[in-house]
Amino acid sequence: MADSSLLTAVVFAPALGALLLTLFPSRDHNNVKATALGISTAVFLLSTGLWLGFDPTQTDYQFAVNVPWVEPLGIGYRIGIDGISLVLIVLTTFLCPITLLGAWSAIQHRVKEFAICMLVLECGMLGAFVALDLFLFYVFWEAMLIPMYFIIGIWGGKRRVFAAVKFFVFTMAGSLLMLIAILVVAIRPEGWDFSLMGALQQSQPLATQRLLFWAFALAFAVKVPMFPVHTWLPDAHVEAPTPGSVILAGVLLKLGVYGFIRFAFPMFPRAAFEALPILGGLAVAGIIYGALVAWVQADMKKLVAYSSVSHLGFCMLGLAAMTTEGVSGALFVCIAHGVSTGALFMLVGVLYERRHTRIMADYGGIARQVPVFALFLVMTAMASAGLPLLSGFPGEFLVLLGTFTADGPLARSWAILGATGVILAAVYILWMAQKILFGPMTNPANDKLEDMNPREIFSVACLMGASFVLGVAPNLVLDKLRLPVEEWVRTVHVRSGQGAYAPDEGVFSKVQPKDGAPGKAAH
Amino acid sequence: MDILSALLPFFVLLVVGALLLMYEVFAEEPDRGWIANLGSVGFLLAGFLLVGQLGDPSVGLFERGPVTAIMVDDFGRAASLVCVLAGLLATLFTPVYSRKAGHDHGEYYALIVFAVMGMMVMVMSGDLITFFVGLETMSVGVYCLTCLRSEDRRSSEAALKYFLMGAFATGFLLFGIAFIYGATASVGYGEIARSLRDPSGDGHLPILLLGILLVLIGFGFKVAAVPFHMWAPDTYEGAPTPVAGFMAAGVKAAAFVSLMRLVVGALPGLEAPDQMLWIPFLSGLAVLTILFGNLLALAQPSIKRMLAYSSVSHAGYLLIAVVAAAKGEASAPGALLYYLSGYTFMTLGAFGVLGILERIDGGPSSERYEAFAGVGHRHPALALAMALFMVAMGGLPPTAGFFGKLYVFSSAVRAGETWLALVGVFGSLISIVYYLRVLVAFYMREDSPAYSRALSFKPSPHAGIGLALAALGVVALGVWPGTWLDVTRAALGG
Repeated sequence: MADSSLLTAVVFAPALGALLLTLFPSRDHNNVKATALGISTAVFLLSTGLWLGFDPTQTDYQFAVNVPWVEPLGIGYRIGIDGISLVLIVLTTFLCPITLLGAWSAIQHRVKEFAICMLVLECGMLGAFVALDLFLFYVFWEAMLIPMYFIIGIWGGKRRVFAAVKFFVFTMAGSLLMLIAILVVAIRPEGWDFSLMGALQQSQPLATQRLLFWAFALAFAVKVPMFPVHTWLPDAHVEAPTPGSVILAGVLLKLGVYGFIRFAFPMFPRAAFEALPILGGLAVAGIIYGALVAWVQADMKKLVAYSSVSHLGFCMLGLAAMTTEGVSGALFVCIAHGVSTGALFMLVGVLYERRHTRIMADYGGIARQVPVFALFLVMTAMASAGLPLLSGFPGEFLVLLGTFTADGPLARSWAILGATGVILAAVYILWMAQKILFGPMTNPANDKLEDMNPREIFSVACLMGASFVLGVAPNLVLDKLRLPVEEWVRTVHVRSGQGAYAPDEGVFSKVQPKDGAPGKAAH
Repeated sequence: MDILSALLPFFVLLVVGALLLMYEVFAEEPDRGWIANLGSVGFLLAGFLLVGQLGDPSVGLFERGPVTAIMVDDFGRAASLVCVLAGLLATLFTPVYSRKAGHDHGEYYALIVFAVMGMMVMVMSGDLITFFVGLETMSVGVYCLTCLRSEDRRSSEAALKYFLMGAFATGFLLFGIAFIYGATASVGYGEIARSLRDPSGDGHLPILLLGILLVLIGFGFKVAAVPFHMWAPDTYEGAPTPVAGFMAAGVKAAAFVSLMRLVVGALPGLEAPDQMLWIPFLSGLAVLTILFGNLLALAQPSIKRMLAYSSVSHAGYLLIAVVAAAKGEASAPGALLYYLSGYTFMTLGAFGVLGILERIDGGPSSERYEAFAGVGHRHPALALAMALFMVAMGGLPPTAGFFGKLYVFSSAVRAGETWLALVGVFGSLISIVYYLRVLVAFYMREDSPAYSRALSFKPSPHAGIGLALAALGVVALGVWPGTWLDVTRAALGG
């Protein structure tokens, strides 16, 4: 079926492109860059085929393929997408070409190897988003680590080796436990079965579920990263080259959230429900802690890195709410954060390439010198701070709404505490913009600062455009999410023995239109 | 299938080994390339014969009553293939390593061939005496190979250490065999199992158990399990690099497969589990080996010593499969064999790359990590291959290392020994750190000042083929496990 091979094509096209690049002479930098850009753009165009061909009225996995791979062990090449994977896939394919374009001048040596790493990484990320087989998922999940390790370790800053190894070991520590949990799930008295469908039909005793859930949860929590296993993130971000940071923040972290949604919660619903208070508490802790630490950073990249911890806390808070609004909001934050933080990292990279410092105190008052940059930075900061009409708003709003209406004694206090995160976000991010852009120009080294060139403007403008579209018409994404998320919340509720989930029918539909045009509410 | 065709692979190796010796003696000016070619062709031929026989019915050779000396079954054939592969790769990596130093003699290759023959006897042995004969055939060959790096004093040290420790282990083994024979009046695995199941109250059980324990200790030395591993790092460091790879992969494979035969054939699951003393013993050995092998590998300053300790730690993962088999898990022998197949490719590949780098003009001046700075830049193909082998040894997908680990750990889970799988996973996590250090040294450090002059390195065809074969094997066994998996699964009634 043409339909089903499209998904395989999207996933493996980057890998094929990487193979093609190996044939290029390594000195031919511009051709290598152009080809890599062309390949990733082609992947994006292919993935729009998925977007257009996707039927949002179905709850089944679409573009599904199920081919035996290692039959005796019940391993199959099982892939397929629902709305949740779809939006994340499109985010990935959208960010990759922009990143490559933005990285055009950031990467000066071993360009060919860099392009190959990026494309292999893209293949791994896409594969993890489509896999419906635990073995296949694990393969992609781990395969991503190696290119990212190289990207940080070869093209990174001064402490790149430390950061790369820390990134690798933290992630690996989580995922190895998950591997054992996968084995325990897949090995049954009657035989082996690694399919997600098969795993969902299992029902382990609660004690086993607890162990298995936490083994999965640890792997995903490290990736998200949740407080307190987030410590690899600032190191990795600060040392990674700009394109590495963009992909890391933009997509890799989302895989943690996705893992919770696709695997940990549905497979072990009872244990998951037990864990909700802990997850919620850690999420709130992450929101506030990330924001406070971001506030006191002197290094812009560290600030953005800690802001990621805070934003991803919103994602986890939305999940922990276990309501349709909360989960949709969590996914929306994922998308929005990918776009706005990607733009922030690129803007930091723009400054760094010119001045080779990321310390905010080295700048100040440069708005007059670089007006275009200033405009973009202010817009991105506002998107990141969650201003209405930009991408940050709908997601965080939905998360807080979902949390507020959730069951549980702590739900409301979490929503209130989480809301302080929104305020803090405005404080630290605008603080950064102010310190860099406004005030008197004190540092003479900035006198000759050049403004953004057309290539940089184009790549950041793409992201800001996306941010604007997401802010004005969030339904573009929420429409794809509504059905799968409703279905997901319902199934997890039913399977956890919490009884049927009966959302106040009106809430979601009432929120929808209001949310569709948040501008009206704001004006 | 008649006896003759069953023994044909042995004959091929025997003839090739003899030819190699003759050629060296009688040729006026021996052409070194030819010797390596002859050795490789012998291995290829034996390998093809073995592949052709896969799936044929099992034959027992030299049967004396209930005891079958040599079991030519699929498990033995598949394991022999792994040993032949180890021999082939070691042969291919030898010319580039040894020619310059002048220890590229005919007997070098002949010794590899004879050692592989010994391994094949080991992996097909059906009783303790045949096993012992195979073991000694192999060991004598490898003792000699170890000391052939005559330009380095460490080589003699290595050989002496290996020989003394090997003799020590042999003592344990023989003592154990004698006890077992004394208790059961037989050396056949089937007979031993029968006596264990039905001790018939004649008071021999303690002696039998003592014998089994001694034999297992002997195996512990041979597979370099902690705490019997002390010889391994020095020996690997001193031996010619391809031989170190051969020892780490081939010798280990043969020892593990024959251990598996012993465990499956002679140590049945008993009614009274408290008598199965070998299970806690083997589990303890596995845990110690994984933990200490990995921790010690972490502390090594040189890549070669790191690889030595890493091969110790891999023995620990393999012991997990042995424990699972001892608990009656049917998938464990296949898992062991699968792991060993992938492990042979990556270990010999890694030692091969190391050997080539040692011989490059102006290459790394020592075996320490720092000396390898910039290799990734100067020798992209070699470095890429090394990266692949390191990633595979760390057990990352999509490589043979990952699938092998997955298979071994799942056999442990199936046998109800999930905790051992967890220990294995913890060990893998530690191992990641030192495997990554190799990549760090190759790719992420500034070029070493030792590389002052331009390097020219023409890969010898042998080494090139060897590396390609190893890399291909590592990837193929990780991505398309199907065919080989079927072979290993079917092998021992899995």
